[in-house]
Amino acid sequence: MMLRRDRLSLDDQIRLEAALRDAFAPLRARRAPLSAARVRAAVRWEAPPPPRLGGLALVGRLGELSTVMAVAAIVFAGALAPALPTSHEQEQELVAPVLVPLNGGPSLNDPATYMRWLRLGRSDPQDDLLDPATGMRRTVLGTDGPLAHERQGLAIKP
Amino acid sequence: MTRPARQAAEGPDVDARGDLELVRAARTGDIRAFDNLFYRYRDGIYRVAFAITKDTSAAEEIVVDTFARAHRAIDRLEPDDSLRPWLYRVAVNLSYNRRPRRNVSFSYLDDAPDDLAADDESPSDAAERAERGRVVLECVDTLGPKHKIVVVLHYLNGLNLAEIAQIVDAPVGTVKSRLHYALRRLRTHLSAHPGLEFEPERSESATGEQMRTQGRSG
Repeated sequence: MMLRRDRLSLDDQIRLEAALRDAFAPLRARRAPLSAARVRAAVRWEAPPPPRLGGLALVGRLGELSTVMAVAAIVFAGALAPALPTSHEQEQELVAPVLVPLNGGPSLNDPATYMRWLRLGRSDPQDDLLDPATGMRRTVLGTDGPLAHERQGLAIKP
Repeated sequence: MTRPARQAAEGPDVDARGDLELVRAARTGDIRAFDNLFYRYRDGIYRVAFAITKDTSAAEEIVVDTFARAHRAIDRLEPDDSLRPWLYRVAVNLSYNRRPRRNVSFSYLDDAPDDLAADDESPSDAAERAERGRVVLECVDTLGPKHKIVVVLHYLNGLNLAEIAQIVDAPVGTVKSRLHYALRRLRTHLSAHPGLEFEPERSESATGEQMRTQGRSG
């Protein structure tokens, strides 16, 4: 009778299994020092999956994009505005309405004259003394006088 | 394996409901049902993870990670018979992804609970038993990963061959063959230790020679 090489005798197998069970007994007595709260926390703290881009989200995203583009265009145009050529009217607006009395005019040392010059932009009703380069036009100051019907007043009836 | 034996291997069961009912309840958002599944399989998974990684903190993380994955896949889980192998398969894969530290073997004496010594066992007997266990576990460490995991799952966690086959994704016959090969390897290693009372393995030629000698004498 020949014993096969890949066979274990029943006695050896029983003793091996007993030895293994005894050897694993301390490990089998181990308990995991964990509570379910740790798993709950791990599940809660995991990063959520990326949201799907639905129709509403797409509209919102397009709105955000158009707003960003509009703001960028405004900022860009604002940055280039000082370099653009200005029109004649804009140049006129940029002229400071400074009225400086010419030599020989009334002196600004007089407080009443100074206040008149400061508030009305002219130091004297006779503005022919003003410098035409910096002086304001008469139409602006309203020195053309009243119209005909204004001069006649309400007494004249049609 | 019977249910009481499973419970003895897995740890205390806190819910009388089966896995199928617990998984169904967990799918509806019953967190207590999921907690009961956790407490049912926590210790077994922890032991497998510890046996592979030999690191307590890594084993704890693997347990948490395993159940976190189970929570994510709760709708796809097939409960009842396949839940336990599924959990173990995840744990085994996670454990093998964490390579154990070098020169670390099964801790035995250092980590053994103090209350394992029987009341009627003398200190010398307890020490001798611990030494035998240490030698056996060292021999288990010499096995390859495929054979070692089969031994661990069968003798440490008490899983049967069919469940181990599901875990390692191999036929039952392959698992049986691996287990048998592992036992033979262990026998060869343990026969070198005289205190373990394993006789040296008889080879085919030696057996034939012995029979021929017996035939001459007879």
